[in-house]
Amino acid sequence: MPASSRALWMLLLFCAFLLAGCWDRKAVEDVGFVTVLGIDQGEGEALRITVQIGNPRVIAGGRQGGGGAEGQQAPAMVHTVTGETLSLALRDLETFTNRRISLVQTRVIILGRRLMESGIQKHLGMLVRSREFRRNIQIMVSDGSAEQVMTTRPTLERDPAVFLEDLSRRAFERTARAPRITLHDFLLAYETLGEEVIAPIIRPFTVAPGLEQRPEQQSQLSGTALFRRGTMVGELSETETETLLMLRGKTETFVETVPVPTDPGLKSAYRLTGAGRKIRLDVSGPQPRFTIEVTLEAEALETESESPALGDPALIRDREARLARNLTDKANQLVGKLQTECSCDALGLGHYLRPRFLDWTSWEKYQWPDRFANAKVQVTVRVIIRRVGMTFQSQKAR
Amino acid sequence: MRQLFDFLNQLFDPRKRPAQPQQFSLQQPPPPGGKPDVTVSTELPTADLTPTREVQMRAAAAERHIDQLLNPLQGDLTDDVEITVERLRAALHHRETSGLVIRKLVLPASPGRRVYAVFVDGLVDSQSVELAIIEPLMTQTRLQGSLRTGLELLRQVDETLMPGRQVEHVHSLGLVISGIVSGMCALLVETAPGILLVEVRKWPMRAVERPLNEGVLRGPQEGFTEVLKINTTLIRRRLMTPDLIFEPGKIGRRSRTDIAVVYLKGLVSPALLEEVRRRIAHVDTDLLLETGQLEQLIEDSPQGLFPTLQATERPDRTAAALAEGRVAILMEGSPLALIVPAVLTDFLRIPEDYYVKWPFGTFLRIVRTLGLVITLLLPALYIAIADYHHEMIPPALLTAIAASREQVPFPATLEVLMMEVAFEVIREGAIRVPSQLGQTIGIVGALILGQAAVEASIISPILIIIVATTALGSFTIPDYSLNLVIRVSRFVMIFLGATLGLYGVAIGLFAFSVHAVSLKSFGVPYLAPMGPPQPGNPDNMLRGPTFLLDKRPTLARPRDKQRQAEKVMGWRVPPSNNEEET
Amino acid sequence: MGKQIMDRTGAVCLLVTILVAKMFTPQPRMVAEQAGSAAWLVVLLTGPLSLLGYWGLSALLVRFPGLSIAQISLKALGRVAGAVVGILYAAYFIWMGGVMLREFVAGFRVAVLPSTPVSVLAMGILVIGLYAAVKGPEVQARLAAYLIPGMAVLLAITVVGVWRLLDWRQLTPVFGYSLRNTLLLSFPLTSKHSEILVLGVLAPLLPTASVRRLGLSALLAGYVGQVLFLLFLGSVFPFPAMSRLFYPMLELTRMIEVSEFIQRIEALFIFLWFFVAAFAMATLITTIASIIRDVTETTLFNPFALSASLLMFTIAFIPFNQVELMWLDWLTLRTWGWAFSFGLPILTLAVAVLRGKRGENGETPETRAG
Repeated sequence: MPASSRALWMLLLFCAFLLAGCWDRKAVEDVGFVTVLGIDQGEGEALRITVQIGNPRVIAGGRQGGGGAEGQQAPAMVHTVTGETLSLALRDLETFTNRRISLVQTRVIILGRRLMESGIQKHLGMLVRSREFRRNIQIMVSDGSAEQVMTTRPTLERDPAVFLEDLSRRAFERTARAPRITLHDFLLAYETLGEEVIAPIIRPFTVAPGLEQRPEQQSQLSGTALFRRGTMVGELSETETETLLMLRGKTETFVETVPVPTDPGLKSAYRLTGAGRKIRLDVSGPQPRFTIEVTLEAEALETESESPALGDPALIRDREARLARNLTDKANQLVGKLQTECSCDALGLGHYLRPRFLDWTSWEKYQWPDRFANAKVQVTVRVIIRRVGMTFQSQKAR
Repeated sequence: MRQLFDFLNQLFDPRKRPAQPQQFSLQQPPPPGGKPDVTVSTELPTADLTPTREVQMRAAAAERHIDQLLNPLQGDLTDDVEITVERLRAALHHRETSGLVIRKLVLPASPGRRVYAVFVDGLVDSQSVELAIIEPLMTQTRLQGSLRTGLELLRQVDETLMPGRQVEHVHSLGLVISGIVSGMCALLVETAPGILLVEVRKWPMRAVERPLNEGVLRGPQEGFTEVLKINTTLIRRRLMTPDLIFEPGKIGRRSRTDIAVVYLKGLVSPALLEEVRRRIAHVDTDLLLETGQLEQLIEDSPQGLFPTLQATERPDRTAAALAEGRVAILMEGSPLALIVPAVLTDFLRIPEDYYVKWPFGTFLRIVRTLGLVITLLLPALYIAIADYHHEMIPPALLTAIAASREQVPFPATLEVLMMEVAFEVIREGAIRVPSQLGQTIGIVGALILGQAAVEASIISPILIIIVATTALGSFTIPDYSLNLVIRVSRFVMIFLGATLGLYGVAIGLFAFSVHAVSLKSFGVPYLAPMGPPQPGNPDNMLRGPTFLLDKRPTLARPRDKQRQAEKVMGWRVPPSNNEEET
Repeated sequence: MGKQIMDRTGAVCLLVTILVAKMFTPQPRMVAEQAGSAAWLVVLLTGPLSLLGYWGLSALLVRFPGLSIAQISLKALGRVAGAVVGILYAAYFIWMGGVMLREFVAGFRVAVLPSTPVSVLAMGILVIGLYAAVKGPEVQARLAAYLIPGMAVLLAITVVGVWRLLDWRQLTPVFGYSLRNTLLLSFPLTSKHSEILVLGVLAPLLPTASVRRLGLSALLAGYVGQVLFLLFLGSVFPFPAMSRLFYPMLELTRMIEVSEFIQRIEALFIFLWFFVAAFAMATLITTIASIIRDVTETTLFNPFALSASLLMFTIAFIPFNQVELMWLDWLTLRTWGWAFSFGLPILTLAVAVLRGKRGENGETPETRAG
């Protein structure tokens, strides 16, 4: 082939590449990013999928979004579609939104309670297999239906997905009243037989009785959903969740109160921070014995009575012991509940047992989830009070 | 179109490609003893610095060729001065051209002998010619000696009458002609064998000014001018050593441009010097106006993207390079000196890095490298991520990008290309316009164009930021050639990013790296200083403190490895105790 | 003969890259499927075997210093048999290159660019690999020496980024799925580091005295690198996940989340992945072209490189789908790869010893002892 026609062919190939190429190009303004995905039980075997697609113009604000009529626009649009499976339902979604639906920016998945009570097994498939989901998506279980939760509009935050994501982070970090579970943790617990799945519960915020319910709804993240082998079997209240997270060793900080020694009617509150957890295992004997030792550091937040003074060195140990006893009681209660009511190892003790086995087949045969109810779990909590605050008094006020 | 086809043709047809240079490497073969050559040599043989036979022969052949071109009336000088002058007249086209002056004098001391002074008015210093040549000839009445032969007369004239300057005694008409057209005054004395060429050059020149394109905040503000002599002076002032050699030469058949190959004898590697001479000797062209043209004729890979010779306007940088064992090439008519060998890090350095303290020098280098990377990759990454990989941006950023793009009618690629091309047009335009206006046009163009385009919702504001940052990044690249390379490669990256996303950008980056690594500059690998690291010279990306830079960089294989005392801050060492005892 | 043309560090980096390249393919999943969480253990145990094989290869190279593996075959086995053995080497590398190429782009296509045709992705890597190969092995070695530290830094960033998720307990049970699986069935699936045969082609470009040492350090580095890789992957993904994830490295980088803003930085990983793939392809193309050049005793290189890449491309598209690809990889490379890279050299060595052939200044046990 003479050189000039070779050059011509090369040029043609290059042009063809440019013209036919860009197979994957999706202009970012043509894509509708689903930021929150809600999965509920529909009629019969169908699923109801609720998607929340952010409206970038409103969320980003600035000159484009603000002012006048624009300001009233919703920051996200919420749609519900039904289908036999997740992918079929999303296919229907594409017929009435003009944007390409993309799940790559999905940050939160909310699972309906009824769906969880009938088992998650069937629906995990797409979550794991699809290239668009990543393993650090937050998973939440909604009390009621996911659709209801997703129609709330947050006031401080423009983007509802950011609201939910940050909510889960704060709820976990600052209060320990709900765990923070990603898809990775979910799958880890579900597949490895070492622990049971847990998930935070999200519900519409209801005010305490006696207070006025505001018109704009909010969502509240409180409590834990307990699963057994992929089916939701119960839930834990907020205080129980605090204890659960403390026992899992993943606690950041939470607040605990104890009565004042001299007057049980008054209370002092402490902020407790997790400082370490050790699990000791003793496999001699018919059942495994676990000893969980939790160490917490405390800082005094407030007290309703200055007498006896918080700074009194003789009484510090006593206070620590009271706190520890309080927490140990709660822990034992929780363990009892987990073992008797639902027999689900939400503490992750199986992970500590598994290294004792030589291979997976014997671990599978052992069936730890069934044996959890009979295991002996002993909890000791140790509290160390480090700081008592900005005021300090070492003796009784005169 | 034809040129494009030709270019593509030669990619495929090996016969049409420029001939590959012989494998040249600066590595000298190890000495036969088997030990590596790491000791500092105290005995520096000088014999091997003379040009090789090959270079000498080529230079002689070039001279002959030029002779033939210049004087078709080949022949030696005759004794008859009139005939010689006629020949000169014909060769210099006295009838057709203006500027040639043939002044006839009569020597009073030896009456009857005519002297002709031939020179080109405009190339000579008229005052000098009058006072130093014509006047002594006219007024000198006593000449010693017998003055019987023409040779003695010539010698007398040469030795006693010419008060200053360089005087050459030549015997070839070709040399006379080339001397006259390069500003010498030829003295033809009747009955004398040979002709005297007196150097009385003076031509209008620019004064030594600040370097136009390589300014620094701290450091000397002198730049080269277009006159070779001034440039040599500027370098001589900084290296006042007898070992500083300026090898003269002429290049170009019709231009006969003076060039000088500059090096430090005893420091430079003989292999490097020989290679430089060899390449220059092979250059056979009509006219060379700028060192850039010479660079393209002697570089290792003309098809390479990167510059492999450094062109600089600064004498201090040239002096520093010479002190590292490199070779500089100066050319008459060009204010840029070429420094060989040059590797990538040289193009990212400015002399100011060495004049300030080392943390700041390092900081500036890092900023420059960052600027280079940003210029090359930022638009391509923006397109790749905004069009292909939406999952790779944090959500808040994605929302911002999507919001700003929703108003815009163009797809991201087109937007980026439009703005980049607009910026390039503004830059080129600003260079052409006279200086004051040019800066204003740049600012006005960029700001107003960009702002107006955003207001009209033609482009998104995020893109303005990206394009502006890219442009600013390119301003940090100190060397113009490298700047051009990066600016053009940026467009290639944009195309790749627009067709295949990050995959395309990775392809471009890898190809770029392979190309950069495969280049050599006079035998030195282009990315040499980046690895392996040289002990004793912490001067790469990060610049070590000056007191640690005691070993010369071994790029150019200089013959003396130590350039600074190991403990150069000797005043810090406390005096020894012995002195106290005595 | 034997004088250094190639940068030594670069040669080691190049070899290590191609040895570790398979960690960026679906290979870890293959091992984890059988061995469970003991994937790293299996690789750890099979390492010494490859050392044994390497002994044979390096003894051969030392016996014929300054010659490449194809030239050695020609010399030791005669022209016909030597040519056949040389062609077998080339065929092995072409096959390996094709399968590896397909694995790379299949993973990339599944995970990152879902609509781009696999052929285009493959062409991209091949064109760049060809370009680097045509520039010569010296350039590749130098580039490897420059880029490998950067790539190691990227890997370190990945490790730091997923620090929260690392839990050594995911690596238990220690013996994986079952003892039998781990010690027997997963044996054929692990890499025996057959790519070290590339050293046979780089040997003429390296100083004779250091060939053995360089190869050994590359082999050990690759071996340790693979074990560490699998340890790292295993600490994040437990057995059920690991045995199913097609592209564990990408999933891992997707999970990097150090703080609210430092997440979603898998763009870095794409560069890392691509560079490893491009290096691997460039090295393989160079190897094949060198072998064919030596077998045919010519000085041509570029035409062979072009043909090699075309053949690799063709072979890359033999499997119809992902499923067939995995099966093909298992059947051919995993099970029989070592026969080519270790078996053939040891055979050649045996024949050379029997026939008493050796190269100039070649070491034999007799001369070494004496």
